[in-house]
Amino acid sequence: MPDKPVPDNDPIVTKSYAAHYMIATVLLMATLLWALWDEAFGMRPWKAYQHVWKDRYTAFLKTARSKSAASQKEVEASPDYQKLKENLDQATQQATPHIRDVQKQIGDLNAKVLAVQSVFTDRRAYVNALTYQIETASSQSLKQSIQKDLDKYKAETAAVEYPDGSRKSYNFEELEKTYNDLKDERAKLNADLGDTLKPVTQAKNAMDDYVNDHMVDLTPTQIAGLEKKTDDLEPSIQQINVAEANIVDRCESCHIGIREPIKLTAASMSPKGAKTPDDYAKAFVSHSNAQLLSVHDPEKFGCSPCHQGNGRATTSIEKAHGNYEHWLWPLYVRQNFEAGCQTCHASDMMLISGDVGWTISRGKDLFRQRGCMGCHRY
Amino acid sequence: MDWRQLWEIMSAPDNVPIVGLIPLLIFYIYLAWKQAHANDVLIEQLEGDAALAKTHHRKTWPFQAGWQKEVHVWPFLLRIEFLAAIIVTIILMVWSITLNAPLEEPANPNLTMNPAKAPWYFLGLQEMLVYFDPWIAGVVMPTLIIIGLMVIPYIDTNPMGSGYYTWKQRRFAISTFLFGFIILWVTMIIIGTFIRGPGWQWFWPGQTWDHNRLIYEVNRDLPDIFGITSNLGKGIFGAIIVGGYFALGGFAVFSLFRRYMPKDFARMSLLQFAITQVFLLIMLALPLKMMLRLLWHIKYVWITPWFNI
Repeated sequence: MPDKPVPDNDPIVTKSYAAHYMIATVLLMATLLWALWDEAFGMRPWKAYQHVWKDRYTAFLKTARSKSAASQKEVEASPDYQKLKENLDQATQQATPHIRDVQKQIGDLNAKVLAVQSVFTDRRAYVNALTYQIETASSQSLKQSIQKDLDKYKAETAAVEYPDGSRKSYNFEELEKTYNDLKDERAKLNADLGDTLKPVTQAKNAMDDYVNDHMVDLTPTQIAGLEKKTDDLEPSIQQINVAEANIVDRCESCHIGIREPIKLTAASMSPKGAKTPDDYAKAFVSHSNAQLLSVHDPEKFGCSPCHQGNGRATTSIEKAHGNYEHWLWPLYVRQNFEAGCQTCHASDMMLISGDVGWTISRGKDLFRQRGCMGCHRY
Repeated sequence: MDWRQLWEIMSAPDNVPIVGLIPLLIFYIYLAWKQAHANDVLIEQLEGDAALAKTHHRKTWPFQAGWQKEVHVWPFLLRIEFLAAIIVTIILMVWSITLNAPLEEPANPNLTMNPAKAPWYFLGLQEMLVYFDPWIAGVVMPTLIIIGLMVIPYIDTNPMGSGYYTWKQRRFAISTFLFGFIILWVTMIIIGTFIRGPGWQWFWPGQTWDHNRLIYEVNRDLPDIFGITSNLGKGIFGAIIVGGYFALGGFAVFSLFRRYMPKDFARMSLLQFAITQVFLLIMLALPLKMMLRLLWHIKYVWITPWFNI
């Protein structure tokens, strides 16, 4: 028997659990919210990177666009550009009457094709169905009987009402021929249109090329395209997947500016008024050597074959490129980054491309001169 | 004493359930034991007092006039169970958020992990592989465990102890359960988790898991010890030992049952008793074989061309 005094009322029946339920429910809701937050953001830190990226890159592009517009004006003021523009205007003027004429003809033909098409496709569907029945019929007599029906159907005429109100009747073969003839005619006219447009397009391209060649940075149109792309960006994993090399690199989920066509520095990606670039700004910079990147297309090579690190990891910096115990190939430290060249270029003695490759080339030379390869593999 | 090693093993996300399981098991066995003891005292008291037995209600407290003799499941039991469900859900959610699944580097068939361990709930089965051939430890034994658990309601003829904790009225059932669950299942999981290190060697807790450790352990077969060399001799010898174990064990179970649990014995049919006996002896054979292997390095008792035990 317990020593406690026995209560008068049965505790099982009379005890209230309201407070217990209240606390437990509040805690449960709190853990639910925590779980949802963790699911959406806690386990996906790259989302925060992409949100910050959107803000900072948009701001950066706005400044870049106004600068670019100014320099575009300068380019457009040059006599060469004016001459190209004149060429374009001339070509346009010359071609315009013929273009209008051809376009009108094509418009008329389109209406005719549609008129024939609506009758023809219906009849062709029936013919095809009967042909299928003939092909799959089980007996010779059945085949012949369906063939008879088919021939009869093909001989029947059907009326086509043209856009101008005229009506004409065709049997199946005539209908098919009319349809194909109309389409051929339209193709010819389209080719003619292309030929007429050619000098205009050429003049336009020459003008655009001139602007592109004479601009230091991107043109305002190109920057506007980048702005639109950034604006449309929905946070998502950015992944390079090269199946044949077993590469799965998601580095660009955070380092999203690495391949942007405009040069991004940590300073330019810093928040307004910041004295030193923060972690986001450091993550958003362009690749330091665009030329090297153009030779080693990331779509084909990924990132980790050169840089090492755990390209799959998206949940923390430590797992991605820190000293993570479950990844045996950590990111090369800054002093050693050229070691990555060795992955493919082990047998090349000189690996110099611009600023890159001096250290490893000297190292390779030293390695050979000193006879290290007597004991060490390389 | 390698405390760091011990901490690394205990704090691995894989092993946290087992670290939690040990105090929880101790606490709940204590709690059940305490309630069973209180009930046993009450049962004794009621057996001596027929008048009290008529009016006494479900609790071990003295009878109070205002108390109900019985209470409904809904809401009085279910409200507590539902509360418990909420609390357990909270614990599981917090656990799953804070402690991630222990994913490691991509699998590499050229560099397998050592020790390679099953998930914690299968470590008992994995530990059994040390003592038996895979088809016994991995197929026959688990099947027998499941069938043995299924068969319990059909061989349990004891009508007592339903709805309350008691030790005196269900000594056989409770001790068999504790033996099967605590000794055979939980202990083997604990061995598999904390004791088995690289090379599945035996490391006492706190001993460094040295991958280069070398031990001299040569396994023998029981017939070898008796100098039996021919295959036929080994087969016959093993059959006699295993058959003898079941014959003698069966006789021991029979006489113990008759002596200490005459009521249960009287209630059981021959089929029920035979099934009980077979499962009990197979269950007891497992720790016996473990001891043979661990203490005397005996690998097989019965060797035949078709199977080895």
